[in-house]
Amino acid sequence: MRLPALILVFLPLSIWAQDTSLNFSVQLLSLQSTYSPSSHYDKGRHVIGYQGQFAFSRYSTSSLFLNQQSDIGYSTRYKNHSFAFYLQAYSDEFTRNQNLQLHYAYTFKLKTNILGKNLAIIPGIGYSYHRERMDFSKLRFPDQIASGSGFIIPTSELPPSENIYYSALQGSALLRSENFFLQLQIENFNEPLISYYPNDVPDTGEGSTYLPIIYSLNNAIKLKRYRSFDFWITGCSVHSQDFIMRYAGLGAITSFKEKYILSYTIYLNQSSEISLGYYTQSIRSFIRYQNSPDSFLTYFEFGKYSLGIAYAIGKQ
Amino acid sequence: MKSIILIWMILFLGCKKQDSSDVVQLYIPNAFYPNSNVQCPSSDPVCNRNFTIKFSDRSKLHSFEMYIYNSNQIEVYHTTIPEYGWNGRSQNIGAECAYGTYPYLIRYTDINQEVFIVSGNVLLIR
Repeated sequence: MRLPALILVFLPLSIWAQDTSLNFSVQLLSLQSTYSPSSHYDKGRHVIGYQGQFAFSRYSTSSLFLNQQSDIGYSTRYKNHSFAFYLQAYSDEFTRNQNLQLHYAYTFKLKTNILGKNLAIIPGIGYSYHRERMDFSKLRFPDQIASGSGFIIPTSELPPSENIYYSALQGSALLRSENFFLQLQIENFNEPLISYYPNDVPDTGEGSTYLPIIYSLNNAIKLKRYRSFDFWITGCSVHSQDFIMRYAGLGAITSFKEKYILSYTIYLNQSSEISLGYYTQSIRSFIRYQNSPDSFLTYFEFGKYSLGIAYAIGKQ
Repeated sequence: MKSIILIWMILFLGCKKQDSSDVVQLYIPNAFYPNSNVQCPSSDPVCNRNFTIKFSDRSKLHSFEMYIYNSNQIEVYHTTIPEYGWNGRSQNIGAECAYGTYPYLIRYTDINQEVFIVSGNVLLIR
């Protein structure tokens, strides 16, 4: 039994009021140790986790809780298959989003050596229920500003509600062996409506008032083993319906002495990341640097306990 | 007498004093709603449907440039005409941009050719 998993993430950046699209606070969440637990551990595990993100403004003496998240995960493994579920409660002050997520993953070992030893297919499905809130009293619409004087006057642009509620579905499939992995993930495939003015949604079918579907594809192939070094080549691509969010043309993972992993990825949209990991039976750790935005992240697991610390530099 | 001339030269020749009435003040909204049904005044026919900058005195403005980017730092709008606001579409004619926060950069000069740069974020609501 592994408990608790604890991830502390620190984010010093200038506060943007109600920034609904600050992506990099979300990127760091991909670190969750509790996500798909059965894909990482052979014997299964229980997880209770807590994660808090804080923002420190250099002009302020106080910090602000950006988001908090609690996780409960459970996985178990049988001879040829395993299953895992994962429940997460999440609250974000930045995006004013609160949600409850439930994920279920099933691992099934395939008895073939076509793509390497221990080939397994892991389908998964996730459901999340979201509540998003906007404080309209802090917004300044153009009709509130008097030309010439700049006086602020009341607006008539008030929505029916300051809250929106929606459900989102996601699914993924991972095919992996000792020499290969390929993962496809589809998020928001039910395209939930996220409008504060649902009565005004145009019938033109343009999807901008709906949360766009996001497709992610990740893959890695072991190229060669030379002495104690394994060379892998990786690729990843993340697309939404409207534009490519990020994609990698070149990635490399080198592991040596079965303990150290060095990975390097260049995203073709001009960002890159490099990480160095150290993995043994009792210790799993890595440190990662990513540019755009500049962020450092380190993560440790000692036996039953996990700790992650991130430092990101926001650009405004 | 020499000192009087010197003071006169400093006051009227050496120092160029900026008249406070020459300063152009920008009034920038932080949200807009392209599908707005609000009834607009005739002086501002698109009001909340566009992200438009207002000025304390438009006649004191010499040049103006505004750039708006999405969260992937891709330019979604650029204009040099202050009255042409952003309507929430890519370059005002392309696809509708999604609900979210968009950073902007405004560079303008006043009639004294003094350069000002203003940046911030605007929330596009759907």
